[in-house]
Amino acid sequence: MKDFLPILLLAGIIMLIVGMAYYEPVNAQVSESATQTLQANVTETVAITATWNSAENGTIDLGNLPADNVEKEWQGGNTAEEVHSYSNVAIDLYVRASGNLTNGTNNITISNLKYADYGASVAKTSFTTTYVQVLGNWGPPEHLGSLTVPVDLYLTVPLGARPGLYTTTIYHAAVQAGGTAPSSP
Amino acid sequence: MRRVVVTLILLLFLLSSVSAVSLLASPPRFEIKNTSHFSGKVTVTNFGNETIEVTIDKKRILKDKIHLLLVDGGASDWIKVKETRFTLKPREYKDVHFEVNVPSNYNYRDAVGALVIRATPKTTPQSKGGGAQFVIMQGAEVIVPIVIGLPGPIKESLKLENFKAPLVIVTPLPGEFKYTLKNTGNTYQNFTGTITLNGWFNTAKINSTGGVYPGDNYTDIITWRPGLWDLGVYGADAKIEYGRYNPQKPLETTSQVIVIPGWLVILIILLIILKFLRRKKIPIKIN
Repeated sequence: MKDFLPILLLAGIIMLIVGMAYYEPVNAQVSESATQTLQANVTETVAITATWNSAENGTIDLGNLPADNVEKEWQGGNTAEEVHSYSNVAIDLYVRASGNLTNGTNNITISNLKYADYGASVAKTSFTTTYVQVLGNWGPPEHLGSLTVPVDLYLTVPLGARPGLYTTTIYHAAVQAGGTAPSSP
Repeated sequence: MRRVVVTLILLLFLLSSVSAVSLLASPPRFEIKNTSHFSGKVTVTNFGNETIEVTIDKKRILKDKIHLLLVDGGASDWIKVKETRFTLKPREYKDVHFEVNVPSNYNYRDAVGALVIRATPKTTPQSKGGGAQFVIMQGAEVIVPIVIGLPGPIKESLKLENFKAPLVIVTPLPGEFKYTLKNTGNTYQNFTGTITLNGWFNTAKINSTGGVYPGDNYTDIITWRPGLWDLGVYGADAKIEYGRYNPQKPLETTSQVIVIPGWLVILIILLIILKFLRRKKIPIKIN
């Protein structure tokens, strides 16, 4: 037994040191809770998107069309063209095209491509390269909401148009309603 | 900065279900007052699921009821943008820094420039072969106006360039009254245009509002749809009231319009047909 006495003593000292190292005093005082105020200022935002067939790409594929000089129609909606606003301010919405439908050196005039409706009975109108207002003072949507309008599209492929891939770009442009004027004198 | 990041994260979370060419800009406008130098930034975000190419143009805005023109020169020359072309992956955003420096020799004048933020899809259309195939690329633009007001003496002045009334209105079709104003002062002017139509039997009033920057023209169109009993010659008195700081003497002009009721035209045609038929004395055939 005497032989184990130093070992027991050593073990006791080690336990004492470990116990001291992990000692946490019990504080009888009531500590103040650590509170932080978090604040974020949501800024004014203009956010728009244009979708075709609700698909995840920015192209409107009208497919293969005959050159028959007959106007084809794609009625706006979630199976065709839609414009959405996620802005938290009212916006004016404009539309324009980059230019004619082109296939190399072959052109089809942009006036053959038309739009209509925008949820506001906008009359059937040919695209132009200048901005034309289609919606004024649109929105803003409800808190956390969005607004969607359908866009009808029309295209006439003239007789004798050469086969091939014809492309152009249409733009939907948004500007905050009243945003171009000074706010006050 | 932290607030902006938190805001954007919140917005991206809320917009997570959106696809296609999606473009967000914040703030949507800037207003610079009493300083000839300004540094700012606009946050551009791709909140969709498709990679987009973004270009930033600086322009001068010409806007009226009919037109929105983005042109070079004027206030656009005062704007410098550090990065004008970049790519944004889905859920990615970028701070676009810009500076506005108004030349020291520039006389006091309100002006408006803009950052035109344009997003187009990065994909290019592919031919699937056979026939005429049509693919239309979709772009989105956010126009961020930069409104500039500089200190100095104020001169408020509008000039009525022209006023056009329709010669004849056949009801129920509407008639359009068109006038053009030019701002010959040095401050932006809000105005209210009122056209009073004084007829034989009744009076109508139509009005419209707008705003025009110094040196710019504003073309306004006011539509009037006469009522069922409107008839005859109407005096069209146009009155343009303006004065952003102090009320100015209104601009006035007058014209005339003849209103012909559609029902009267139909009645006259019917009477003529009836008279024609009576004159011919078409015998009634009895078998």
